[in-house]
Amino acid sequence: MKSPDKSTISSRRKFLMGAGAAGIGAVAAGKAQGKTTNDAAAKGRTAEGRDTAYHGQAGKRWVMLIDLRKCVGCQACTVACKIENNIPDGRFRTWVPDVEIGTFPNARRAFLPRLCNHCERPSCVEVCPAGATWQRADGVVEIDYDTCWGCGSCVDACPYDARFMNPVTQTADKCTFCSQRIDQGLLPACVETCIGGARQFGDLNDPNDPVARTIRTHPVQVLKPETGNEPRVFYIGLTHELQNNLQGKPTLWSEDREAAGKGDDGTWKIEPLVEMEGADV
Amino acid sequence: MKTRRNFLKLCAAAGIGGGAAGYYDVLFHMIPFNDRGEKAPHPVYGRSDAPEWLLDRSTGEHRPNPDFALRHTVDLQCHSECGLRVKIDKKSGRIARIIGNPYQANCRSDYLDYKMPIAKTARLPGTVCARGNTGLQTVYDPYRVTVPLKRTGPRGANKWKPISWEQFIKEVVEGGRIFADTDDPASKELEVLGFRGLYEKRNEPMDPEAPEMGRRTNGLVIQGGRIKGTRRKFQTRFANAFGTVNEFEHTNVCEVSHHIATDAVYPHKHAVKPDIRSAEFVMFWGTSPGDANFPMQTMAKYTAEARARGTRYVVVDPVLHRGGVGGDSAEWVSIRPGTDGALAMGMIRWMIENGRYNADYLSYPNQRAAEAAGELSHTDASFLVIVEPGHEREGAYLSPAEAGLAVGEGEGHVVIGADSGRPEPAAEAGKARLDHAGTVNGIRVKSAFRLLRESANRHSLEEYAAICGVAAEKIADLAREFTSHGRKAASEFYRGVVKHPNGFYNGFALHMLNVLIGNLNWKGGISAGGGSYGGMTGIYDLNSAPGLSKAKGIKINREGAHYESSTEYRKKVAAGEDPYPARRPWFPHTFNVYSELLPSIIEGYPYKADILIWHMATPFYSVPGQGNEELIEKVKDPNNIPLIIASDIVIGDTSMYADYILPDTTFMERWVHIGLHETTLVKGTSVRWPVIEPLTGKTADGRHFSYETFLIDVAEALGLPGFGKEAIPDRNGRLWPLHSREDYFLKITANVAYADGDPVPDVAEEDMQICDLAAFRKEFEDSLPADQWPKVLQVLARGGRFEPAENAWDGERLGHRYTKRLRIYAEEVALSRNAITGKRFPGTPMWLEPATIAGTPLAELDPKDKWPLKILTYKGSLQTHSRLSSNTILREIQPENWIEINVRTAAEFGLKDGDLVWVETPHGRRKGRVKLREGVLPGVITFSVGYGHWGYGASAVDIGGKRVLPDRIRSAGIHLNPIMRRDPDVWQMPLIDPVGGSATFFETPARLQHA
Repeated sequence: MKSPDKSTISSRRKFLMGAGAAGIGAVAAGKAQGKTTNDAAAKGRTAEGRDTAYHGQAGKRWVMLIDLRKCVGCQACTVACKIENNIPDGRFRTWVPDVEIGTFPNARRAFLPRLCNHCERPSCVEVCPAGATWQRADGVVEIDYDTCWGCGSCVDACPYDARFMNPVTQTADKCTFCSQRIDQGLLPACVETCIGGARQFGDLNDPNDPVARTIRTHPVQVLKPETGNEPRVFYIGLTHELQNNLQGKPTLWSEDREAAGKGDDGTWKIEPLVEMEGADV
Repeated sequence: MKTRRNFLKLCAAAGIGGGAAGYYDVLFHMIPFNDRGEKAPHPVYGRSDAPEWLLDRSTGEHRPNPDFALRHTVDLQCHSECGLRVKIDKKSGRIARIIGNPYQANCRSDYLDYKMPIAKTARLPGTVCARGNTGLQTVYDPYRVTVPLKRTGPRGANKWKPISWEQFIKEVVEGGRIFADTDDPASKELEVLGFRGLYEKRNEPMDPEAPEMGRRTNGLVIQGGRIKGTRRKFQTRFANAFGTVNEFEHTNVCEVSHHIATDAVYPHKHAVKPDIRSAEFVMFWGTSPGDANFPMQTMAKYTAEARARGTRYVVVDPVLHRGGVGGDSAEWVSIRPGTDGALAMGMIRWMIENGRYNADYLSYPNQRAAEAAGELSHTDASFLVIVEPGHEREGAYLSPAEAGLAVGEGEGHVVIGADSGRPEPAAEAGKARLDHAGTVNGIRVKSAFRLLRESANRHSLEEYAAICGVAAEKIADLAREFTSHGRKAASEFYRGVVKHPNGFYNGFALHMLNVLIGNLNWKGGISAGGGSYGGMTGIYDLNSAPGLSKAKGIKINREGAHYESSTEYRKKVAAGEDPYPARRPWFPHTFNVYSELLPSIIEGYPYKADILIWHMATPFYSVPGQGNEELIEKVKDPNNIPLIIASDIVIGDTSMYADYILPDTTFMERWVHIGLHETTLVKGTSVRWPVIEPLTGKTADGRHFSYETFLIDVAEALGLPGFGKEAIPDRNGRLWPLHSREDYFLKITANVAYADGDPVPDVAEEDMQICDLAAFRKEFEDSLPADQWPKVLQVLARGGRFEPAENAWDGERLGHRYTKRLRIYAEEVALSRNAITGKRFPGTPMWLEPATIAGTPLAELDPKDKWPLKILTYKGSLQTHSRLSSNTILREIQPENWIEINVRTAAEFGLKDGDLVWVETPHGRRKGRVKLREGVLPGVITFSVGYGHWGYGASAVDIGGKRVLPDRIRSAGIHLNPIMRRDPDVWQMPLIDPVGGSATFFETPARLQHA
């Protein structure tokens, strides 16, 4: 597989120009050479035959395109994902940081929908000592919840902070592009519910797929291109201030996603302030 | 975890959450299978839900997963009324997930053809916002009340016992010493007049000396919170049958001045909206597209698409909210709170001075002349208004008779003919002189346009700039840009503009921007909406019944009535007294003045109440300044209001002060028929119906407890007309019974299905199965004749009835056009008076300084040196005003709210991000945490509503002697409504807009103190 053009790392402008050429070219090359597959994982799953859940949909390369011009920060995706996938409190497979940028009166809001990038070169797969995580033929990076020991290596290895430990299964967990849905020809829950139409889902290998066409013909960006992971979640309108280290003042939840929600003991981490006075002052 | 389990067990025993253990089950009620955690149901798909559609790989077609039903209904997590597709697990009957209804206009720009089979829509979902997605957490809230509760202690002590439905109905109907079983000394001995006792007085006058007050039955007051469409009509039916005029919704704490200002310009319309998808320039005032407004998600969708196209739009608001302003084509204009009218009047002045208005359009005085000239609407701009000082009709439109014209047919208004230069009847003139002042038949007159121009010229652009904090050059720039796109520009406003004492005039001024460019009915301009399929008439007449008539009398909040026509006024005048001020204001131009109900009842002005029903109402939480100890104490005293019944789904912040809690249904368990919002431009009626079996208990004859069941059972006990055996006439003269809510709502559905003489198709067998409708039909078979069911089920299968999406436009025109006369002069307002000051209201749009009802400018009432800040509330896309604290996923995303201030304001007060502070107002103080922002105007405090609850699961309650523990996240955050500014001269009244009737949310003065 072709390694990413390192010259794109130092310069965002170069990256933007180069993304269409170098980045996407790598997909095609990767396809031709077969997937990055963890041998142990593959062995553990041979008994399942050609079950799509394990092997994915041959010939396809699922990607997501997020048009930030259309994101309104409504968090419908965040919620739909939690309900569809039964994600425990305080954990998120997808989340949307909501920040304020600029200074008064020229301030504006910016949103950055986040999820697993289903990278072409996922750094989480190779570190798994149990062979519990692998990439399907269609690019979806999966976890075998029966095999995962819950060691957390992959959580640390992901440069995008996309993985977390699920306190219910005590395994690693992350976005799967809703593989249970896409394997039935449906859309991921977050895409279905996106009110602004910012999230789009498609097959990069299909030249007629509108998402693939947009990715090939429009300037698109990825998060932290310097990781070399070649993310397959693309953005339109990803500015420099959002691309590498999210800058700006958080206006919704705190920086720490898990600070919201409940702890493992089921109690809320935020304690109410109950003091109030009604008397005239 | 242990606490949660115990709590659930306790709930089941006590009658809360009876039918379901709550959504928490999914998250917490798991039994670990080994040390490593719970085994996921599928090794790869993990704990994710099974999909509702299965792919047939050979054909590429989808077939429904037989384990689930999909039903289309309507949301009520906010009032956007978005269509929902509800995925229901057939085995458990529980909702698994909610997505959008792709057949409904809110949920897709290109919503789907009504006839498309549901199975073809698997990959064409509708969208729905975060609140819509979490709706199942409202339904399965472990704090749901599912059986009637009766207080066992004093009001507000939160000590309850579950009682049977029969006991509940009997006690409230028959009255007597019904609180003898409580330990409340104030009411143990109290003889309570029940519904029957009050109904027996239906022929007695409320006040023998003031017959206009109507009958004693007006002593039943229904303070409804959110109740819309046909559910509201049901409440009205009961009120009329019982004989009370006092039946309300909550609109004055919402945005009623927006309704009234809109009605003043567009008669009988309460909202007009921009065609966002076709406009080239849009101004949003006091509302942020993508964060709020109607429908929130649809405005978000259209503006998101517009942004991607590069369409320019501006959001005018003191606060930069989520959603609206991002990228290069959108701009935030920060404005001082409540001064939108000054900015608008400045723009109007610039537009008129620079000839940047559509004079030609404004010169056509009737629709015929307008259409002959290729226009799509007409206005009163050229109509003459009497300005003769001291003339008995000063402020009225000049009539043809007064002008000395032969009174012909048609409308009674006069213009100066453009060609003749002489007075002509407005109805007959072709083109009229627009800007005119002169004398007609000895009476001094001015055209409505001249009055507008003079009003705009009361201040210079610089003065307007100084008032609103937007530079004069910027005002001119906005006006120039607004007038640079022909008809493809539009101005839109919402709550932020009108929740001020000058709200009506702010809104009136803003409407003028659109009128001056003549954009109504044009593609890219302003739409009055596509309307609905009705439902109250057709095959069945739901408006009438034998013996049913409209209740009469002055409403207890004196809305829709002039003080000057009251006995009180006449007596004072006859006695030679100054009739002003009245004891409390009267509101001749508005409706649903919700905030006046409790103080009026307690003061007995103009009369007292015997029975109060709260339906989905929480005045102590929502009304500015009313959640205070003094008012709560008065309400707690049974001598002030002997019987209070709250219809609620939980023990809420206000319903906790009731005598009884009536277990109501949630939006997934109830009915409504409601028209689409104007934003979508198309015609449609959405239908909310019970897509799951209600969690509430059942009557002996199998009807689920609900607000409607309660009203039916009371009505039947009293033998009220319009209920019981012979209640609903059909067009063949047959009378149908009304004993269950389906008896009523299914007939409305039939009217919708057959509306316009163009019935919907029969439901397809496959759709019947996907929606699991056979069982539903069987359960309610008797409510409709067999031949109507296939069409009624088609409406249910689609979640309503909607015209094709392409009907939105007709070439360069909108598909649905409004042709009544637009008004730039509000004659009926100009002819009325403020009942406190006796002064006439202005009839033209203008900048008015905000003041108390007695006329004290707020700047004098609360001087800036003492109160340097102003509090603004907001309701973003993750919250509805007082609800949704049970939606824990939303709380995970935003667990608390903050006192949001500009970094410069923080510097002035020496505050850092996250500091704990006291927010002080003239009525109290609350502690909260500050968040420093750039997108807040300096000098302003803003906070999200929906936090800081004391009820709704936030406090411990005793039920049947058992303690139910609170969920503490529900009290997290800060809520400032209870300490908001009240009017100094009227007891327990928020600052109020005397014309539009809005309670003021955005004028409370404040300061911050380190906590």
